[in-house]
Amino acid sequence: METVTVQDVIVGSGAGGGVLAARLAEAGRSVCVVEEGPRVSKADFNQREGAMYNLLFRDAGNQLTKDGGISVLQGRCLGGSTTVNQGDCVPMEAAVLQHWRQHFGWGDWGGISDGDVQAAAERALAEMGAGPIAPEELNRNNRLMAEGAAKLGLKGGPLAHNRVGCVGSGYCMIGCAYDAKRGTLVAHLPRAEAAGARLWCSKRVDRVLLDGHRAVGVAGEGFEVRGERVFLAAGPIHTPGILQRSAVRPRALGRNLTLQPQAPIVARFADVVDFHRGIPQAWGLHSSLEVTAERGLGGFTLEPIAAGPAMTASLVPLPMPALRPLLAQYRHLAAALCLVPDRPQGRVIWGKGKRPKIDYRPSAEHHSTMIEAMKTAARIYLAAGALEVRVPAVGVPLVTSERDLSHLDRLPSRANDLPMISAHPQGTCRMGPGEDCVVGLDFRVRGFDNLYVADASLFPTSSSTHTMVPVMAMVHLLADGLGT
Amino acid sequence: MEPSRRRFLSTGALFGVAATLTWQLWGRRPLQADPRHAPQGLAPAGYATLVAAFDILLDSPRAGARAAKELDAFLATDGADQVAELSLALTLLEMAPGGLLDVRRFSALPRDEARDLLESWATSPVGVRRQIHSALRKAARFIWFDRPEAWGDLGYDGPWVK
Repeated sequence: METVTVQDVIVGSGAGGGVLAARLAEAGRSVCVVEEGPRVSKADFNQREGAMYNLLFRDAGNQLTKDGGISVLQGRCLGGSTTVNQGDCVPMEAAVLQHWRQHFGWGDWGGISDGDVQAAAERALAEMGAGPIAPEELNRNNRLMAEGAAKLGLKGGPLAHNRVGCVGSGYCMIGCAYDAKRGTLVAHLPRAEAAGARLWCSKRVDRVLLDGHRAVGVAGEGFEVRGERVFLAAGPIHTPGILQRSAVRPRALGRNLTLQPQAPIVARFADVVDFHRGIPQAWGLHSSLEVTAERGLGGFTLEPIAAGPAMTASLVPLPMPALRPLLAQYRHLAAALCLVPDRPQGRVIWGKGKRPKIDYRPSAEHHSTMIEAMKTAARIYLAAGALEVRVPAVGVPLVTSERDLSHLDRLPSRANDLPMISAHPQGTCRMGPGEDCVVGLDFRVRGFDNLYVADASLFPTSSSTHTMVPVMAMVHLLADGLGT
Repeated sequence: MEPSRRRFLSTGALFGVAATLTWQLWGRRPLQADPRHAPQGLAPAGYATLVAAFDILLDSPRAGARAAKELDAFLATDGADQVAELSLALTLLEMAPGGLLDVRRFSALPRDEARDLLESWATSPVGVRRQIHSALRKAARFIWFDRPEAWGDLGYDGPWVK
């Protein structure tokens, strides 16, 4: 049994664990970050889809909901999902926080003000060198969507990203080979390591070691890390699994899961688009989002994406003879993700195996909003000059004009009819003051003095259309509260 | 009914059930995979079904065999916990063509019949069939189009790092 003893044990190295490691280590604490995935660096990122999905993603990108309908993408490598995201930095809007204060008992949140949350988000943005993508940096796919939206009078704008010195290769999602994307792998973990933190990779934490109401460390196969405080930042799918296996089982554990299911839409243009090159998700449609204190985050957003040939071919459910001519036009394709924030409705269930059951079905409300999102995306691409727009669902005809948009009303709602992905799972260890919450407003697991949760599990509802910055902001607030 | 007659009929019924089950199990026994490739992750029967399914999904026996070989090699090294799920899915597909007294197997169907059957699963009202079709389709296409040899037809110039 290999045993390490430190002051602070952090499970996970993504947006939560990475930021926390830097904060605690730089405050002089001895820290060990335990990461299930491998230690990787830019030299490992060879820009090949198959090899990189195997290396960087949980289940090689095939972590699925119980009915197979949604791929829940999650990084499983040093830097976690911040190593494999597209770099979007979208802080939580004040109305979402108001929603939690009014409807989820956050109240004055122990004196944490809206200004404190905003300052924490700004700190997270500054640490990553984040800023809006300049108009001249938009690739053609993003420009087409911006131009089409402008013609229709819809409002959008460049998104902020954490990239510095981007060369525009387009492979952000399978690891940046240039260290231009400044996730925790680049912006935080080197700082933590320089301050003495140990980054222990390829170690899967099985459970928290408990002594009554105190955590004394974590354990996995052949190792233990002992410490004065334990912070779980394994993400909303796996943090509840660690608690479950540790016999910490509040009633709400694993419940209230939101996945923000997203679906792609593909357009074909007469001239070359090269949607796989340049900066993906650099522009977003803002006017369709609805953010209110009463309902939280709602509506939808559209973001032009990049996809390599393997991912593109795998997502379009045409028989091969029909797929070939479409793929022959690969350089003429444009694509966007329709992102629809959802309400908490799913559950993560951990049994004896090493994989969870993610029990989640999109609601009828989500489905109708998705249809609206796809119609809007189709209108925008048509306004930008697309020859045709395709929803990659079996049995939905091509859209070539406004008249055809009614085809999208036939968008099937059954699992596996439409390829959907989730990159922003949230909930499952809800934070709040009530007995129906897993974590108290001080980030501590209810009933434990020194066991904390520091990831998107905490959020009562969808925090933002991109969870990296809200998680980082929360962790800064946690670190502030710990006096570091 | 006389006891001897009841015993005769019940024995006959039991014999009939046993014979049907034997016929079904024998008829549905897995085919052996191509002996030129020894499966590594899957059992031979599951591997034969996988090759047949990938042949349909990639519209090419050669492509199907190659993609199946790559997936099988992956399962042998990194995907041990996925082998059981995939094997079950392949068994369901293999046994799908038959009825009560019909012992046909997916991997032995004429190609057109196999294609019709597999494509019908894409829109099947049975959720698990759509799930299996979707998973096999994604795997076959992802593996096939991750090969540099496939990129030329797409105009994709490949990775920037060498």
